[in-house]
Amino acid sequence: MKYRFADYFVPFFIAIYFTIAFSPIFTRRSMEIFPFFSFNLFSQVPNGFERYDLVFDLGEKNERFLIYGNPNLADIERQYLNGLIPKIAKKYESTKIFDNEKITRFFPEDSSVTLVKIKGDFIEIYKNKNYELEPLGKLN
Amino acid sequence: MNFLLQIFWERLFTFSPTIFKDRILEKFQRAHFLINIFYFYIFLFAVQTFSSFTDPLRNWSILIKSEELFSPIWSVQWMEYLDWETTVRSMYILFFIVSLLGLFFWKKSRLVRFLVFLGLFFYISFLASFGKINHYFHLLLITSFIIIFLPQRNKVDTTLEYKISFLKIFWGTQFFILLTYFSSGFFKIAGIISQEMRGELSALSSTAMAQNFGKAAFGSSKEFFFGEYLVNHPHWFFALAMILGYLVEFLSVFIAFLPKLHRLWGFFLILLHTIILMTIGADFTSQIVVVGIFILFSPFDLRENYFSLPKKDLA
Repeated sequence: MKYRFADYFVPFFIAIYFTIAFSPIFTRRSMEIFPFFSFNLFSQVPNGFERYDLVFDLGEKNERFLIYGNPNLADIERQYLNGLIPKIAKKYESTKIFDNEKITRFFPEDSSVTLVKIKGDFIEIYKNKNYELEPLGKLN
Repeated sequence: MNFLLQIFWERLFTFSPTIFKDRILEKFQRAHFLINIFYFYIFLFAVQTFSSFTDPLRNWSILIKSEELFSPIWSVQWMEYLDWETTVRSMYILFFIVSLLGLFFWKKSRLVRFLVFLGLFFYISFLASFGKINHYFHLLLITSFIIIFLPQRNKVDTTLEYKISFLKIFWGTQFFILLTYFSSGFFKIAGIISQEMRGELSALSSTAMAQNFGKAAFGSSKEFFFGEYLVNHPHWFFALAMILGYLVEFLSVFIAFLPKLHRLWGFFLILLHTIILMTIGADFTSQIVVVGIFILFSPFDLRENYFSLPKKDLA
């Protein structure tokens, strides 16, 4: 009897883990629960893309992005901004309020800042840097 | 309830009737040795946290200077209320200490195994609190959790029951690992069907792998070993390779019930991760170690070959 625990533990643990891991997929929510796998990651091949970013000095000679192609961004900063900018952008699109508290330190001085949507195809942007830009709003 | 449990185990016994009957001592010894290796790897993982030459997303000196980027997930929200540097350094030190304890005392104490899991849990939670939850260490973490429940042995207890219970938890861990791959493969195959039905580009396209590379390269601004080649040389071979990869993942769960295929599947899964690393850069090397320990060197396949322990050691 002492060693019967394994008989119960294995199936119960697996059932509970996978029920929780699958719940965001079946309820169609984009949330991720740590430490549960998101099993649908990379389950579909990209058919074009849309990404939010910020552009400094849009239309000027020194136009540059906050994330895309920014060589001055550390990996940890890129990861952080990749997570944060879509949230800020979606909030801006629905409320027109720009919650910039966490990102102003990334803004260069005396530059205009525009929230944009980059659209295109991943292969095209990699090979030829071809993309479409849709300005969503000037932030300063 | 008992009926459901019976069904679960009966599946295993139907396909592998002798899995917990034949050569129990050899299987137990190998499984026991592999758990030693597992705790050694966690120790090594803890040692690596102090390296300044590691992945920038795991580099302690970068993380410690990145308090402003810290967006804690649920498990480390308490860190916001404490002194940043002291807390981070203490967490690193404590993880190292418990991993060292785990290396020597995992078999004696369930509490030690629990503490190792906790050290790993907080460290990985911490890594996941800078804007993105990476999945690179999930399998290591969950495996360390399951292993907590290995049976406790007192000094005189070396019964067959104990060994079988140990092997059942070991097999349960294997089953969990292979089920994660199955789930991933399942959604990828479902993805092909739904994309084809919508008339979209799917994994059946010669540019599918290049698209996945492009997505990863765009998000990370990094180059990957075969990335440029994939983009410039689209070929049906890459679609075939992706489909084969999906099938390896999808069939994984069935392999759990077929011990004679464990090693082969362990090799396939490791190869899959290697190809993924070379093409889209997802660095699952930690997961490769877990698959290596639990599947590639599976104790349930004792055929004589270069993975076998020498006979005299089993005497």
